[in-house]
Amino acid sequence: MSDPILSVKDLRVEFATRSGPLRAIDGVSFDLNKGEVLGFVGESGAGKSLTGTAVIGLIDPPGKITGGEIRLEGRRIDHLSIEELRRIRGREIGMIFQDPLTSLDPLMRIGDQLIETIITHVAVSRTEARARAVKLLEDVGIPAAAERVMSYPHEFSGGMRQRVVIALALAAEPKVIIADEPTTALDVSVQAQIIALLKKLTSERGMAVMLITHDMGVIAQIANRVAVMYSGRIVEIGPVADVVRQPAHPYSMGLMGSIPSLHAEHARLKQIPGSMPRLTALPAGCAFSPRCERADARCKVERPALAATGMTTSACFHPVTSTVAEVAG
Amino acid sequence: MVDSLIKAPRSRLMLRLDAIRDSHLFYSFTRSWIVMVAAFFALLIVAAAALAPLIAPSNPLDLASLDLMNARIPPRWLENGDPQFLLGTDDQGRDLLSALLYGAQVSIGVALLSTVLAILIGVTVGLIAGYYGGIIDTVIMRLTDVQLTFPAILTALLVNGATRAILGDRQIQGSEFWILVVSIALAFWVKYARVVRASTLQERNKDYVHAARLIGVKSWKIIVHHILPNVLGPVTIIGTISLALAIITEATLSFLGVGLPPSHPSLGTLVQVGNEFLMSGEWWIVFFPGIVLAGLALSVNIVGDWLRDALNPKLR
Amino acid sequence: MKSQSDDITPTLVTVSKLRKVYDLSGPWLEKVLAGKGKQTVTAVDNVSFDIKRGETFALVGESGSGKTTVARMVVGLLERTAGEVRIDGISVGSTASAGERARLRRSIQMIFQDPYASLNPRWTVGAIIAEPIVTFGLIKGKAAVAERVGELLTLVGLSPADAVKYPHQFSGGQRQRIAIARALSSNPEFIVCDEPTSALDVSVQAQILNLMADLQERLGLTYLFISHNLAVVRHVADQIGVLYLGRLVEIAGSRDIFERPRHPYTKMLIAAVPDLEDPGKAPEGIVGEIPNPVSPPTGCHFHPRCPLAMDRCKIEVPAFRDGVACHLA
Repeated sequence: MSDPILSVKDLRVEFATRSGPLRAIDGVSFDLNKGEVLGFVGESGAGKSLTGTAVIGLIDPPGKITGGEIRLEGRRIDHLSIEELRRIRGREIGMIFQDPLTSLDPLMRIGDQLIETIITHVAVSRTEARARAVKLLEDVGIPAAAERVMSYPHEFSGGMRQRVVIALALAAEPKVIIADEPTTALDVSVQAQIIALLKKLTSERGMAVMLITHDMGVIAQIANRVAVMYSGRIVEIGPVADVVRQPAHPYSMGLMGSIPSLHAEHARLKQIPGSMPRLTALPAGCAFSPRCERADARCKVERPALAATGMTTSACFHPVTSTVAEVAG
Repeated sequence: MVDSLIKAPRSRLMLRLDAIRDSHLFYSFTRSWIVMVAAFFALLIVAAAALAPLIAPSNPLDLASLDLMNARIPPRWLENGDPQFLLGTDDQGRDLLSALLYGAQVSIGVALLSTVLAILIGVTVGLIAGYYGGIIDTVIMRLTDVQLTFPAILTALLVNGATRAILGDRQIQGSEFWILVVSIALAFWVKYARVVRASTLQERNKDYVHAARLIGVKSWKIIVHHILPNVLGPVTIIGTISLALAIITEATLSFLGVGLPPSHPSLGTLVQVGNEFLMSGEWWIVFFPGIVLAGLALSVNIVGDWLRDALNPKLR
Repeated sequence: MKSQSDDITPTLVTVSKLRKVYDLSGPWLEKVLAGKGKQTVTAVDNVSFDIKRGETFALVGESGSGKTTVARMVVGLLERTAGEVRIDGISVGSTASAGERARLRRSIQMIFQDPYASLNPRWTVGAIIAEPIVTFGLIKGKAAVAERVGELLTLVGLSPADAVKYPHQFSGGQRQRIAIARALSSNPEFIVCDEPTSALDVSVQAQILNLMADLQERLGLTYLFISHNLAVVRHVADQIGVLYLGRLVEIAGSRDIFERPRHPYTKMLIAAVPDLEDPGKAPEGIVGEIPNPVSPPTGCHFHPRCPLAMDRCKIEVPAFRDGVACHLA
């Protein structure tokens, strides 16, 4: 395999508080390869969005990257100046956020926003940028793109707006896209269309995508690999089909079991007791151990590292060996 | 019965104190020495004013003790100063320090009472307008719009003047204090009404209010038990800031001669009296009341501003 | 939960021809001055369904479908423009005697979507749960009320000692448990659940759905369950009604609707749900978005998105007959 486009090693993000630093991301490492969609799934507070924010250097104080390194095509980008980071954002890393309204300037025609982004990052004339903008809007499935290019964001429906945001993220033809909950604000039927679009675009353009979402279903549909996050750490990472069908980490297993499916009627859902610990009260050892039925004395004191376990890589001393279907059955 | 359950048991007082010590509010307080100095200064003046009868060298209200021979004596560290009068005397021979202490008491009393009254009126009106909405809301809010076009001092002057005109000077003798309180309250209630109305509109549509409506809790109970505790936050902030404004307004009214009579001095009256002697070189008669007035208003304002920022989650 | 379509089970709730029209035009004075006519939007149009005692009826729909409006009209939080709601034969909002009205009120409760907004932040958990008990005068005496509150807390999986705490001390899932305890405190027969888990993380959602199922079985509760999530609905519902732009398009038993959906919109909704058992498959054949309810399409509201639409669908509103509202069914 060729070198990864994006490589994150041992990333640590801390928030300074009165009572000392809170570690929100602790030793997260992953590689993102060309043309790959890597999903990040986890509950709110697990650190999945923060990981994305750290990669693009947008962590707000009092948060701070306090360890590890982030490399884009081998070049370290975690200690760049604000100006250098700004050049990378948009040009080399595109972003898609949950709420399309916050990503678009409400007072600017969408065509102008696209043209501005293209001109800022790519050396082309205004006329050519305009042609590219129309082409982009066509690519993301906006009907009558040549006319709609002169419209304002509020003239679009929610789904169309998210398409515009995607067009904007693609404008400078970045190598990596970070999509943070791109479909969460949308209705199911619109979400399905956006997923199909993202899938088509990534395979056509060979972009690498970091897809952050709480919705395992979305990840299952378009991601190649998935990283399951819990309490600021990756607890399992592997090919989507394997993580979905045969996860090794008890948390992943619990997560899969708790997702209602269209196939089981009236079945009792598998549930994980308790809830994710607050950052202020992280247990020693494995953060999942207080909720884990497989946990033993060792889990309470020693923190498991990521290691190959069956089909996936997971951080567990007692990985699950059965499949989701067996556990559910 | 619900009320008794709302409040945590008293035995948890110590826990409460711990909570205060650990709170963000206390923390941000200790982080700013300006705020600490201001709060200390404000508390010092309030305490001194409250204890005026105990600590003042003489009683300026006791006309019999005054001696015109003692008029306009400079502070004691100046030439011709009298050790009996630390800050000197005014034109009637009153000890300025005593007059200041008693005057601050009156000023702070008027400011506190008028602010409390303004809050009572404003919060009640705001809750009613916000909760019931419709025509009641429209009428009340247009009324506040109209009043907001007048400066507060003008409203206070108008109310004050109208009361005096209707009742006659003789009638109001002895109740100037209360007229002052009411006229300042009527000038300031609008702010509370508008803020409380806006918060009430938000709270009214939250699901905890729906849950109470669903089981048929009476409207006034919902307003008092559910909504009121949730809209008081901004009121305390505005209250603190406009306490400073109320002190200034009282002083202005008294300075303009529609406040308290000269025999019953407030900070404003003292400044007014002193003003007449400024040109003749007796600066201390206006200087000390002026400093206390400015210092008090400023420090209360600083505390109010800090409170606003400290309680604003967006600035944390 | 009981098995579906048991004909002997008596009907508890009858909703007939429910309708809600909102007046969008401004105040009277503005109308006169601006010379604008009356502008209205029909949020709910002719919605009828029955719920059998001890069963769960789910209303599914996307944003703008009017599902929450129906829920609020059923419990009486929102005035009905037309239509009737009967519970146990008594018409809600009728001029029944005061005692009957109080009894009715006590027997209907609601669980809201956002557990952060549905609990008064200034009240202790004990006071929140006790409010219905005290309001209806169900139990006299402070000690007895406190004991009942403790029982309810235990029932929903919390501890009686939690009564003295405030809502902010709990996680989202725990708050929803508190909201459930409050709803149960008046011993209701019928609980309207408005998206009770859509604000929660998926593992917590499983806990709450399981808890609700347990409580239904133990206490013989009847649920009206509002949701946008078809997979969740599949797990909880006996009967399902599908709403589109204020109109019911299909009602059927839970199994029937998933195995043999009849309305094209139902089919599209089901197709849009990501399937974890088939990772890598992107949804297909889903087009369009929900139109603006202020100017809905003529005839069948769904015709602009319907792959099967004929000329007739553009003109004629299909009647709701035999469980479905479609000219082709």
